[in-house]
Amino acid sequence: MGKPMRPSLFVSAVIATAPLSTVFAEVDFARDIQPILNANCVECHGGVKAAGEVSFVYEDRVINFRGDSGNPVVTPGVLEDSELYYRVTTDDEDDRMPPAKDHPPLSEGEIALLASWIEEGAKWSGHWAFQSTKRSEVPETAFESRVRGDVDRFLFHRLEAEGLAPSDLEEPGRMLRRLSLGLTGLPPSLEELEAFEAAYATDSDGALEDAVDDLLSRPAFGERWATMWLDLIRYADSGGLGQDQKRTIWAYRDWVVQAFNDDLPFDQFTIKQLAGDLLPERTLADLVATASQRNTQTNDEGGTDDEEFRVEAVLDRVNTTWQTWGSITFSCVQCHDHPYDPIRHEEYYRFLAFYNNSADTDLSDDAPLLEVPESPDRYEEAMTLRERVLELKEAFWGSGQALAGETDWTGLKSLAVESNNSTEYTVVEYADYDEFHTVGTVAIKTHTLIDAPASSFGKEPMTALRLTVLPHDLDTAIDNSEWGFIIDDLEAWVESEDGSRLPVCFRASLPDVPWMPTDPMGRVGSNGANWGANSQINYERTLVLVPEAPIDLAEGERFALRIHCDEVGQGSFPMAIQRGRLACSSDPRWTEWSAPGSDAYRWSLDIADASERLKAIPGTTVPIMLERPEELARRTRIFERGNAMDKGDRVFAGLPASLVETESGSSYPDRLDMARWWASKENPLTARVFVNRLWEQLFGVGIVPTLEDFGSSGEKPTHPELLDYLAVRFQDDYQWSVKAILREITLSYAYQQSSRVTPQLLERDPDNRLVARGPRLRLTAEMVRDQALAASGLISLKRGGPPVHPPLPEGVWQPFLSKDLWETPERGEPDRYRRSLYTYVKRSIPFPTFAAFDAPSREFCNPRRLSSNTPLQALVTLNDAVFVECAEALGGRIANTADGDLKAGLAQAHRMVTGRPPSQERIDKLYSLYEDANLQSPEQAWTVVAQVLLNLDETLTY
Amino acid sequence: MNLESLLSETHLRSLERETRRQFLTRCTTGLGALFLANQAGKAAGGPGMPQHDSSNPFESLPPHFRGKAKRVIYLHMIGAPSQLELFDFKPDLQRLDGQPCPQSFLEGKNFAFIQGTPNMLGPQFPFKQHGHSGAWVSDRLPHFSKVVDEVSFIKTLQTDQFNHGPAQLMVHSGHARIGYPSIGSWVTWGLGTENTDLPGFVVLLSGGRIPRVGKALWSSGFLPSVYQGVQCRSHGDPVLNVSNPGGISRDLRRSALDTLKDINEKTHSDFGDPETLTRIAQYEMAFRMQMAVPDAMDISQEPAHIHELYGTAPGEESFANNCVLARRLIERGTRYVQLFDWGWDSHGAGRQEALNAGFQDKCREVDQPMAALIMDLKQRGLLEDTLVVWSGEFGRTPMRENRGGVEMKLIGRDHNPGAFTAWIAGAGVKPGVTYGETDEVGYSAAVDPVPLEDYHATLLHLLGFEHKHLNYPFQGLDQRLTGVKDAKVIKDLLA
Repeated sequence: MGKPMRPSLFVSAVIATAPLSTVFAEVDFARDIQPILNANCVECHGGVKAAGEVSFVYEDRVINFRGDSGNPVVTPGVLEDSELYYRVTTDDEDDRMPPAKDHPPLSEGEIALLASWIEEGAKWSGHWAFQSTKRSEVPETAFESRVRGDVDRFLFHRLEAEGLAPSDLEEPGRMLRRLSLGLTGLPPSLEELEAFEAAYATDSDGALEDAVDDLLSRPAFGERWATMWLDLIRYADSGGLGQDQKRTIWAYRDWVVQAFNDDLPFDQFTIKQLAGDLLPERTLADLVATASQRNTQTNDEGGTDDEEFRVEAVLDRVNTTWQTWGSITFSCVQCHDHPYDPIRHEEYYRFLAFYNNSADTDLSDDAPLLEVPESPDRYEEAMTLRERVLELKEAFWGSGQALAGETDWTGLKSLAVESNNSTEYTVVEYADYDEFHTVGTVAIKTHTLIDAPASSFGKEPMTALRLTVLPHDLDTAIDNSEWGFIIDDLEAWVESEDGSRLPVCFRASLPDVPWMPTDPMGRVGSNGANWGANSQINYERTLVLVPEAPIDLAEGERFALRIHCDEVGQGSFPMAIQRGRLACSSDPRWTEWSAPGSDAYRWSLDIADASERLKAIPGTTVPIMLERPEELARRTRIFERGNAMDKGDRVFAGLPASLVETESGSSYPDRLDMARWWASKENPLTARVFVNRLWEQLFGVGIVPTLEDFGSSGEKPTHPELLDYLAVRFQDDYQWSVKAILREITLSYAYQQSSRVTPQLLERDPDNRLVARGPRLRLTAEMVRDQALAASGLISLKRGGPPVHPPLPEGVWQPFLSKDLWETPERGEPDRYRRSLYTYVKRSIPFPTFAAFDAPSREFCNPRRLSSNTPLQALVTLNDAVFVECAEALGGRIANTADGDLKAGLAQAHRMVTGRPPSQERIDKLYSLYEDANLQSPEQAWTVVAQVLLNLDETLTY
Repeated sequence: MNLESLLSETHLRSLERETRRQFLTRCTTGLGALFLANQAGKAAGGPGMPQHDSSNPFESLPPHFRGKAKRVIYLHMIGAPSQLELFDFKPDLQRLDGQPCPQSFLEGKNFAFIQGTPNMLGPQFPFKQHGHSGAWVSDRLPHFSKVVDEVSFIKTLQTDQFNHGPAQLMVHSGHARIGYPSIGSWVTWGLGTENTDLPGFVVLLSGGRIPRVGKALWSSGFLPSVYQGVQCRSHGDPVLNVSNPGGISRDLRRSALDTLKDINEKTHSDFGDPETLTRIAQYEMAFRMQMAVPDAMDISQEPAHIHELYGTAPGEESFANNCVLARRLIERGTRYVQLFDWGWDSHGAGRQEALNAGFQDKCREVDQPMAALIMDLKQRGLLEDTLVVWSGEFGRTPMRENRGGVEMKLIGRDHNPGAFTAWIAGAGVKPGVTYGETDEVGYSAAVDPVPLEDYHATLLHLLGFEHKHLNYPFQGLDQRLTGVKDAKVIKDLLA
């Protein structure tokens, strides 16, 4: 494919990178050389393919590196000893790079740059975004009189260099509207507009500061910024694939809103969401925060493989984490080394290992779940109980395992094993025990019936029985799990020769893990009920059962077990025991261990008590992240070429070398270490990426326009110094306070400029990347609806709680599961008019208004919304029932203006939707529409006018 | 190299240059940024990326080379119809009927519901050869049998998904997850549409339920949302919100829009934002769409002989009505019409989904209309440049389903990703061809297997796209319908 020359000098000369004056000073690798290499060389000498062993992604494969040619690719300072220079300049067609066959040669300018770079010492600097942030020196500007803060100095300095100047200030009403929508997603009320304009007239700076502080302190603030975050974290109230069934996870959405409102520092915000469960002093809210990573899709269609979709979810967590916190397209590395950036294939899987041992396993109930009290006042109580249950379980389990370790177990022989259905078992005899396993296909609802003669047991009475369950192939199951099992019930009896049965009761059971990973609060019955491997088995699993009284079998008697496994995985897979064995012990300590009055006995009573009290607290649930107990830890292997079926070398958790300056202290970092790395000042990406997102939300285009890619194939920052300034302000000066950095940005002159644009400026800077004027943005999907509700007075500002079901056009709601109801509250009920954030987000049926206005449907991390223009948008705001209801209410407000001054009412309504009073001409136009409508359809006359107001271009932009 | 391919090659090259140039222009911001600000595509793309005018994302655009097909009607039978009861005739399977399935068929296979060792199940209906092409069709499709010479069969489609949701997504987006663009979105993104008063990509549903992954099947994924499919309906508003609210006449709406336009024009002169002009155009398009959509959707305008041909009855939601609608829409310039007919999941677990019960009703419901569609398109000369495609999402097993390990009362088959049949007809398709051959029991592809990426590459080829070059940057990759695997166009199917 033809690669035209990349005119890098030209790039600099326009506006994409540094000011003119800096271009020719010294060659900068990242700015001048890397783009040439990326455009011309890395296709063959890069991360995916390193022909001749040469890769321009890695310094050590270039500088003083001898590739297949035998010569150093680059010898710093010596052009003639640099193969690179020879290759791009030679006339020898066989040697010439890039190959002449389908690549144009480098331009003279590019060759000159390469030559200067080599001669100047071939200094290799990594990609800009991978360098640590530096506190930028604040430049001076000729527009100092307009400066409100350092943000302006950076922007103005650049404007000056471009021969541009800042615009005038926005008029106050529109200014307040921009701040209000920008910070809270809601327009100002008429009263707020009037008060602000009055205050602004006497003290403009004071009025602005007061307004910004007021807006930042409102609950609506968190609701607006949560929307941005939930796009990234792909929040939805349904599971996605399969039946896309309802998922109860709104407590997490409310946590995000609250975190923004509490101004939870962004480093904490990060750590809690990525690893709140591993914090030493974790609170219940910290566990709720981990639901961020439980917004992955689950597949609950019948017959799907839980393990396949568990892995999918883990991959999605990796990609989402990198995209959200790092704006790095890490998913590239899933299949091969990153083509442009120094991240290796193996490092993807090292990172994946941080997530690979979580307890969730694509179960359709989204287990493990956390019970979340309705009232936050009871969070602490609930958490105390929860931790208590876990501690008691650990204690019970620890003492039991100690005893099990000391016990002399005797394997049972002469077993007869059969099933209650078509499942066939066969028994294999070993020296010390018998083992049974299934043969052929296993039927659902299989009960395992095991029978052993008295001769299988020792002379002493049996005090404990140990059941071992295994995957068919223990060696492969560790990496490629098999379908597991769950015991629903277990019966045991002693059968005498005459066939009469004496039931055996168990008074305690000891599982091999302190708690079930998918149900930490659940209880394993004293007969083993609820114990199992849900839904996959990787390891040998054991359960010890302690009978009420030691069992002494007389000759001729038989001992029998019937293990019920009725669960069906994903509607199709039998959760049955497919391989196992039994052992027994006559150690009297088992009887003592479980006797009334023993520690273990008291612990189990206490567990029951604390669990009951926890259950009694009314509330909701939320899926959370938890680590599986060490005993069941999953191993991580590389997927060759990204294929999960083709597992390669084993890897251990770790961070990409090119991004980590100092090795972490612990040799095996865990998820918490990973979370802390993202939240550390050492991480060059986190602060930059987040302030860039805030900037984009306020100005419509990021300082790095490619919000989704901070790698070397993304666009470069238009104002690199400003980006670093903001990042350092955010993480150091403001200690990660989101409100503080937003306050500084919104109080800048730049943000408060008028958005009027001249044709000349428009042609010069159509995207407003230089910010020579104020932003003029389209309202987001949520804002379009919320503004209409607010202006019409219908809006309910009730906060939080389960998702709501506002009016929906007929025929849209056709969920796969008919029990998933969309019940719209009647007119007048507050839940009909809640903020858009609270609308039920069903992935397979996006809310039509939001979909029409470019809201994503939240299957994956969505780093940037793209705006589109379609007539369907106009049809929504003109004809959708919600907007018609709003127009009626707004029209009603006009019609009922005090003193019957309809034109005054019209002017007020106009102010509410646009922030400014209409001209007399505009009032006359609207009034004449009213008169016209009044002739045709008097009932709707004001509704028609209100519809026009709600559809004005000025209304739908801010 | 013949003249035509030379011409299309030249055209392709010039497109590449053009897109490169635009890419660079955009990189340098300045000039191209207006385009970027709000354009239909976003970041830099590779060659072949369509370049839309920011104010008109549906502008009709040329493909990479001259394709025969200008528009598509895709008929998807949701639930996966049994190829063994319709098109893939297997006399050997008849002989094995009732015998236990050989273990070799079961080893290493995943089934959704089959347990233990099932029995083989012979074809449930008699087959005959039809037309000059001698295509085998069962007696369930008597009307369709008469048009077999117009179509080509692919007997060996293969997928790697054996559950409905992911498999349907595979067929329509080339990926098993939600979040990727459907073919219809790729095509309308690539070609725009010929009539901006109508949606460019329309979805019509029948069978009483929507597919389980819902709108994900006509999602635009990471492409701009304007390219998502628009569901048109037989009940209520044919397109959501296309009707004015009660009491507001078209005249009154016109007056309101005139006032709106007046004010917005003033806004444009005040603020100078070109987006305002786009918005004005958007409201005018909406107004026209309010007329054009109900008109296109009103099949009562069709003459009696057409109703007779298709077996339509205006007012109901049916596959037959949707076939007529599809023709009416493409006649008016819609680019891509997607029909989904629900109810083909013939497990045998209930009457509706049993081969010896509900399946036969389904056959009756689609047989006449799909044959009529082909004849109707042909008589209007539309078949020359319209591609008609029929498929499910996977095949069904030659074994009889035995859910729970027991013989069920009704007869059904389980899911089989190893082989299934699709047929294509019309623009650019060599008619009367049967491509690929399954094994003696129709369980897997024996000769010329067609993985879905080849199928997709072929469909795109018919529309004039080089599948490798219709791509869009997302998550660091140039994403395409055919994915990262090598895909090849099936030349034998091309006219």
